[in-house]
Order: sequence, then structure tokens, then C-alpha cells
Amino acid sequence: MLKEKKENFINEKRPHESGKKHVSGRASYTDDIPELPGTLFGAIGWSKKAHAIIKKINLGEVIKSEGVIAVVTNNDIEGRNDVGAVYNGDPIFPEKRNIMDSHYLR
Amino acid sequence: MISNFISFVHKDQIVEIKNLNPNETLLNYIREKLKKTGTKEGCAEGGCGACTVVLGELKNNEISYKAINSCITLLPTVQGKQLILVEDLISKDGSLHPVQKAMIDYHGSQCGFCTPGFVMALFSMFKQYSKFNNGIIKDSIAGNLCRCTGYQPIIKAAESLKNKNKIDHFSKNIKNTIKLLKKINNKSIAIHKRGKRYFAPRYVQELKKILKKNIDANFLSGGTDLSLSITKERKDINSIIYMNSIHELNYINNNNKYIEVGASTPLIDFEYYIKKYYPNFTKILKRYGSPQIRNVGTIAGNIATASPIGDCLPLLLSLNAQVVLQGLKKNKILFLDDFFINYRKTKLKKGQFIHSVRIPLFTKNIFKAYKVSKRFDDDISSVCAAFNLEVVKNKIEFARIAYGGMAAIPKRAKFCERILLNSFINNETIHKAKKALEKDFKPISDMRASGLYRMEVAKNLLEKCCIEIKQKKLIGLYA
Repeated sequence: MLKEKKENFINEKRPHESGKKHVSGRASYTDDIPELPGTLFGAIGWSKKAHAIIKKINLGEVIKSEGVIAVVTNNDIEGRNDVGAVYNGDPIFPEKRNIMDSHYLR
Repeated sequence: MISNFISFVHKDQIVEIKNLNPNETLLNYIREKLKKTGTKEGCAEGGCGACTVVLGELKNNEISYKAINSCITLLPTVQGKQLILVEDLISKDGSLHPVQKAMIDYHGSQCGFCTPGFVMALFSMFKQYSKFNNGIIKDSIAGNLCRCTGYQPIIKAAESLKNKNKIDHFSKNIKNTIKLLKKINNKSIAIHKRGKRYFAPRYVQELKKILKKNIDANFLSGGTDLSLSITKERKDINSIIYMNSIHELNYINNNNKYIEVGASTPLIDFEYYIKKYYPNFTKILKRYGSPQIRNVGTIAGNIATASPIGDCLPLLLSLNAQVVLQGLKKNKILFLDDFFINYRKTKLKKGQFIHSVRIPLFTKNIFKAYKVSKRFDDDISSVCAAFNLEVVKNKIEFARIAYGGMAAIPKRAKFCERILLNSFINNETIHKAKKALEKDFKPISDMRASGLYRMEVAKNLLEKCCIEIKQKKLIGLYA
């Protein structure tokens, strides 16, 4: 009994569990989820200079723009402003200095 | 008959779309209106193949199945065709299509995002070719990117199809599909929608009438360049005249002096024809773009776009091609040499259109063309070079050389030609001719290549060409 099972499992080609969905276009990805009415969209503001010191960010005009619901900066993050999996080092929003070209500003 | 709505065949039925926005892409229509999300958006510029769908077109009472990039296909251009999506491959009884089955059996999918595009590219191959070798397999999927599999499982899946029975539910139903296509493919289209206009004439006479009233219209052929202003620059194109609906202009003639190619002839047909005369032209066209691009793109479109990195252009320049222009009243034939004025500027005037292109047949000459790009397939040239030489006993008696990617326009290397003319092919000539290229070109640096690199490559391609001629063999990895 056990022997037979082993042989079936090892050395046997198993199709990808989602293979049938993949090849028939039925596998659903994030972009394939229907939009609900009233879905909000996020847009990222990029810094124009690499490794620059941020003295201030003036978002007055942005907030006033038509359709803008909220503007989020590092000040809005209550927890950790970092996505480094083990150590810090991948800040989401820059605080004093943007560390790479086109770092998110808002 | 002129109609203000389009009709196409989808799932054994005629679909009519009224009030359509002529700037809507086929991909958007499929995903947002048909709500079929199997077709994916990847790059939105016809480079990754995730959005590949197949269009069935009636040709001599048969259907040809062409893979296209739906992301850069404007919806009204599917008029009169059969639309086939990845979801449509499964039979009514739920059984998978042989192509789908092969992709599962050979582990052709991992994350699965690119898979529908590969399935459709292979489906087109499966339907188009009765036999396919590895060259055809690799060409068929050259326009599809996959970051998981490393392609080998997909190639193996394609190879397994070699011995598969060709009968599928599309071939079983073909008579009905042809009947439906015949019902809808005999109309011209004229759409006016909120200030946007779209015309798909079927005859040159009709085109001229439309052009007279819409002098500022953009000509659309394959749309592999024009559509990007919609998908990438988010611009509106207010007035469009679609050229590929004019069957009169879809032809290749040969009078033994020159080959004449009609403006709406797809590159894929031309590359097949020209192989006999200029095999290197075909070699470059295979790398010009994927089948999805070559199925719709045209030589005339390439010329009208006048991009410095349009790969047909240096080849046509070195072959001294002519452009046949038609106006509302007068026709004009220009040498391609005189056609390009500046970066993407040509001598095509308002009220004129490209009717055809004439490519002289140099029967005594050696024609060689090379393309250097970062990626082998489906990439934009860093440098493209074309050499048209007559060599008699190692002496160059005729030289016409042109480069792409070296200036703001595709351009001849006239100083270099002068050095080569009446010279013997030897190290001294090669050295002088390479030096002369510095007088011909001052290439720019951009993300594709630096100016210095371009110059070095241009020189080396010239040397390669001379050595290949002298040694009578091909050199290089891809020779």
C-alpha cells in the first residue's frame, strides 16, 4: 500500500495546480478583480531630484484639486515607515532625505 | 456600403458595436466591456505579448489566423474579422484545446500571467502552419515575454504539437464562420463620435474623397507606433483614416526591374516574398518585431513614421527604393533618399498618402543587412546597417550604404560609399571607409547606446560586411 503511494507521488509529473486556469484565462489576478462603484485610486508623487534634502513639501494645491480625497505623507504613518523585511532600510515615504531618484514624496 | 458601426464575429455570432469611441483599444473593450479578463495588459506598447488575441481574416475563402497585440489595436479595426480570445479556445463541452493541453502537460505556466498570450501566439502558429520547425516555433513566441519558465517548457509544449491532430472546434465550424464573415466584411466605416472621426475606406477612390474633407487626418496601418500616443502619452487622436481596410493596396507586384509593394501589405507577407531576392531583408524583418507586429505593420507605415530606428528604412535606402505618393489630383514618385527631411519629418504633404513602395532588383549585387540591438528578438535597433555592393574580382564597382540609429533620420553613408567605390577590398580600403563613417555620422547617446558605441558598431559592421564578402562566408554567433 505504502509502496504504491510512494511511486505515484515521486517521479510523477504533476500538472500545475492552477495550470488549467492559466491556459484558459480563468486565473484571476489583482487587475482582473472588477472595480466596485466608488473605488478610490492612488497616485504617487515622485521627487524630481535624487538624494535631495526635503525642506518642505507644499501640498496645498494637490489637496484642493478636484476629486482628491486625501493626501498621505510619512506623517500619516502611525507605525513603522519601512518595508524592510528583516532590518529597516526600505523607507516607504522619505522623511528628511529622499534616498533614490524618484522616491515617493507623498 | 458605408456604415457607422462595426461588425465582427465572436463565438459564432455577429457582434455589432454602435457609438464606439474610435480611440478605444481592443484590449480595453475585451477587459472592460466584454469583461473577459483572460487577456492581460502587460506593457501596453506591443512588446510583451500578454494581450495577444487572434484575429481570423477571410482570405481566398479560407480564414487566416493572425496573432495581434490587442493593447495597440484600435477597436474599430476589428471590423469584418473574427475575434478569438483565450477563453474561446475551450470547446463547448469544456475540453481544452490541444495548445492549452500541451502548455499544461509540459509545464508551460508558472505564475501564469503571460500564459494566455503564449497560448494565443501558439494557437495562431498551430492554425497557420501545417508543419512547424524550431525556427517557426521560436519566431511564433518571439513577441511574448515570460519571466518564470525560461521558455524551454513552452518550446517543448509547442514541439509536442507537431504530431497533434489539427482538427479543433474552429475547423469543425469553419463553414459557418466563413458565412458570417462574408455577411459583414463588405462595408466601409465612417464613425463620428464626440468630435472624433474614424474612417475605414475600402477603395482608393473612397480614400481620396475622405482625405479631401479630412486633410488633417492621421493615417493608421498597423498602429504599432500611432497607438502608443493613446496608450502611453494619453493623447486623443481626433481623426483617423485606417489604411489596412483597402484591399486594393494589399499587393506585391514584380516586373523584373522592381518589386512594388502596396501600402497596406502586411510585413509578414512581404518578408515571405522578398526572401528569394534579398534573403537578408527577410532576416532583418524577422527581428523587426514579433509576428504580432509584423502581422499588422506595413512598409508604408514604417516609411511614413520615418523613425531613425525603423528597420526597413536603411535597407530600402541602400536598395534605392522609391515611394509612390498619391494626392487628390497629382501622383508623385520620390526616391526614398529625398523623402526624409528631419527627425520624423517627411516630404509627405497634406492631402497625400503613400500608395506603394518600389524596390529595385539589383540582380548582380551583394545585399547584406545587419541589426545590433540589446535583445536579439523584438527589440529596437541600436544600429542597423545595409550594404548594397557590386563586387567584381574583389573590386567594388557599386556601393550604396545606409544606416539606421546613426542620425536623426535613416541616412546614407555617402563619404563611405565614395571611398569604397572603385576600390579593392583590402585592409587599407576598410580602414579608410571606416574612418569616412565619422564624416557621415555624428550619432547621439541615449538609453539604447552611446554615440561612441554606435560609431564603433557602425564601423565594425562595415568591416564585417567586407570580410564576409572577401572570405565568402558569414561570421558571427547568429550567422
